[in-house]
Amino acid sequence: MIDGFNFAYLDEATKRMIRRTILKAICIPGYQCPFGGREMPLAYGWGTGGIQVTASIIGMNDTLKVIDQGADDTTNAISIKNFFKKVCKIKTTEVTENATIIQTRHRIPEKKLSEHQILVYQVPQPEPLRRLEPKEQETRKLHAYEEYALMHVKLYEEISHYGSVIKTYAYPVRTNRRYITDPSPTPKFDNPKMDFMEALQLFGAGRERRIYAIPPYTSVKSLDFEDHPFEIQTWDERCDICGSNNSYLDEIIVNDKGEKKFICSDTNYCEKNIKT
Amino acid sequence: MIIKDKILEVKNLTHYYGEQVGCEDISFDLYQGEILGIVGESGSGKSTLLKCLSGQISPSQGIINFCIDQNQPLQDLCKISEQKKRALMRKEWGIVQQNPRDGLRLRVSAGGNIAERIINEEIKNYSNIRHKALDWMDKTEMEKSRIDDFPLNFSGGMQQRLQISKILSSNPKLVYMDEPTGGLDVSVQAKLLDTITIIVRDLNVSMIIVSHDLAVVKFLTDKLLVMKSGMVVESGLTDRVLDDPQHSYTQLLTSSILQV
Amino acid sequence: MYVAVKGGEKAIKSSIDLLEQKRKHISANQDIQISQLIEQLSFAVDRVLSEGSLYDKNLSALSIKQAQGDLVEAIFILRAYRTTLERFSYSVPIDTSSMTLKRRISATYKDIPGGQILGPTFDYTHRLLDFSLLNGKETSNKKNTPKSDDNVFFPRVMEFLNNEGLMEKEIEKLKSKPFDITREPMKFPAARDQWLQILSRSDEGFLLGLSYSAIRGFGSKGTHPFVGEIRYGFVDVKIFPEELGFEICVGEIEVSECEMVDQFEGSKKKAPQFTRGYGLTFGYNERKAMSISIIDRALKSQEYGEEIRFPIQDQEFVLYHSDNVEAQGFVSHLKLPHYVDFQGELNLIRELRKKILKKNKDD
Repeated sequence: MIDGFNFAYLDEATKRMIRRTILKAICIPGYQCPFGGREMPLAYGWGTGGIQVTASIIGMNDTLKVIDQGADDTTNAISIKNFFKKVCKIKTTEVTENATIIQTRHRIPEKKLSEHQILVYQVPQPEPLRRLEPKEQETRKLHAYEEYALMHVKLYEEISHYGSVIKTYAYPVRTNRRYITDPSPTPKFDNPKMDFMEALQLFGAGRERRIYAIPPYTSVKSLDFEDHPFEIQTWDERCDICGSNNSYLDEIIVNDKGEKKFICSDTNYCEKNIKT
Repeated sequence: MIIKDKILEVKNLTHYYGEQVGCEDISFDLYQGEILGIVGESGSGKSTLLKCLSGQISPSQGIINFCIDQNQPLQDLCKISEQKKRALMRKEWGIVQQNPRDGLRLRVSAGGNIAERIINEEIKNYSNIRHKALDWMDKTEMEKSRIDDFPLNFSGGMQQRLQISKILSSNPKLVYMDEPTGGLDVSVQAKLLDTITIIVRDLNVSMIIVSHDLAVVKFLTDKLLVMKSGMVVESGLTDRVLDDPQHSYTQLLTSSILQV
Repeated sequence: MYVAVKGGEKAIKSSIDLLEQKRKHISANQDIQISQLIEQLSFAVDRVLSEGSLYDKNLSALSIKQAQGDLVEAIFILRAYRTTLERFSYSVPIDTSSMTLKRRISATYKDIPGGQILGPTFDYTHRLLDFSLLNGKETSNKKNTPKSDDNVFFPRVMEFLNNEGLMEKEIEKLKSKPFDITREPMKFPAARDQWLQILSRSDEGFLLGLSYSAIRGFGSKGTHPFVGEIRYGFVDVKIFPEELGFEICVGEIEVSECEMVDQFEGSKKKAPQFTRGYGLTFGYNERKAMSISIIDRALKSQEYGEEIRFPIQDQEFVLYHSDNVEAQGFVSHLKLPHYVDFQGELNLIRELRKKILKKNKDD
């Protein structure tokens, strides 16, 4: 730990306040609980919500994994992991199954998570209706009264104009058949993993000061129409490194001619595949 | 006309803006399928009354009883929860705004605009929603091919037809219209009025129309309230009020139209 | 086989080293002392402590030094430190009418009891580059510090209008505990205590632009408000420990305060009155205090039943977007990798193009 700062940076009173908010969030799956978010030494929009959630739940015996875009090695993942190493001297790992807490930006690990794990999402905009309705006072009513027609109008529009729903990430879901929830900007490829996930899913939005949660074994359905059912992305290619044909692939440009290759976005999953 | 269920009952409705009178001591009943007109010059309190009735503002005093369910007694709108009121606005009522731009989502296609009220009832099937939307465009005599176009690019008359389609698509019990043909050319007005009459009579929906245009009122409405300075000065069957006005203000109004 | 780029850890380390090197002077210049910053860049120090919402000139100067003069970054550093500090007490409201004044002006009256005090201001300087400062020959200058007489009482200008009933009444006392923006998430509709706190630590540039928009015509009723009074000086900060039963002074802070007189409200029956806007900031930040007072008035539009037409009247617009720590964070987050989302968009656009191109071909 570093001089002048508490374990995990936040003072204990703040952590308690955040944990109380988390408990409330778990009790009302998908509901965005306001909380007294604090300034963090990392910039807003760079994961302050997720960091506050992680800082409030992390203990001496936890093992932390941080990923960004699925990878352990991206700069922001490293930076957040370093922050926690600095302020709480906990163990960190890249191995998905060894982690007790996984903080993520934009992906859910390919490997199925277990009851002993908590997945902490960094959320830029917790309000799935925000683009349709800019006013917070109004969106809170829309949720409270379950007035969700507008969201389906959006899906209707996309199908009418493009033949299918074109939302590829942050694809809205209905949690526990009640609240429409933003899954954070994870690709829709990951949405099915959220449904009845064994691990607890916590979502922290620092700038917007909201925390929401999806408890283990909770129904999470992607919005759709019965004649235009929800579908995930697929690739014709395989991962160029491990050969996987069932993981989310990132496209990389390998030479000046613009030739492309595809590789797993989940780096730990990819490494495992090579070893076995 | 067969007398049917009473759907609206207004008693002693009064609204003040601070200390200024918006409308005062207004009472009337409305039955299913009936069309009521409210006329008066600007500042006479028509719009305030309409806003009170349609739940946009809470009146200072009085009762607005509305039939939420045929098998239940009427309920006072001032006493129901906001949630219920919003649900009524989405389904049982519709407000056709004078400026259709206020009642439409301009960046949502014509079909999407209509779909919004249908989706409240039926959210499962895209094709069903689309068919219903097309059906309503047909009924309001819009070109079906424009279903995916944005109302931003529609003419005023078309926008108003779209707004009416949107409102009627949820099969409301009661529709409020605020100067529905204001701002349109005379020829466009006439066609629109024809359309409104046909649909409304066909659906047997009740309507309250606010207008300063006596011609519109004469053409559309069964009953009439004449307002001045926030009060109703005369009321009755439209033909009677216009052909044989009793109050001096109504006489002035009708004479002014005759001069045109 | 392709090997994906690795090395985030190394890259971060080098980047931090480079940044550190950039701060370290290559020439033989001396390291800037914190005291020099406080004395010679006092406006920068005041801006940072005001927007960092931590009244500590040393730490403010330190953060400016650490941020290499990037003030928004300095504000961010100060805020992040502030958040870790324990809250041991709330002060009693400061009393600006008993301020030790360094400056006090009114644009509404030529002469006011206690007099106008121009004080230190750039207002009447000619903005000519002073080349004599180039070589840092400045000698310390201590002579011209006129003492303001502590015994003179300076009544508030707004009180004169108030006593005559010409000014809308200021609320005497809050009914409940004041909102604390550092402890509670924003709530809407926001009350005045909430918005005045937020504005007090908002980005000066944003507030200036907004208030400018209002007086150019993109604002509520009155387009031209009057400066009732601007004050800048020292006030005591007092706390009231329950166990003691009396107030004790824990220190002194510098603040800038502005009270703006705006056009009147009234109807046929209600006698017209002027309306007011208020702004207060830590430190000498007069431009910002004025901006706040204009925005404060505009945000009251809802209460006065005025039509909400412009951004400055819209609570959510103003309050959600005025904090530069939030704003810079979110804008800069666009630099973070978005490979995964972009991949989704890439797949989609190819898919859609394929569909249309095929259809066009078939036709």
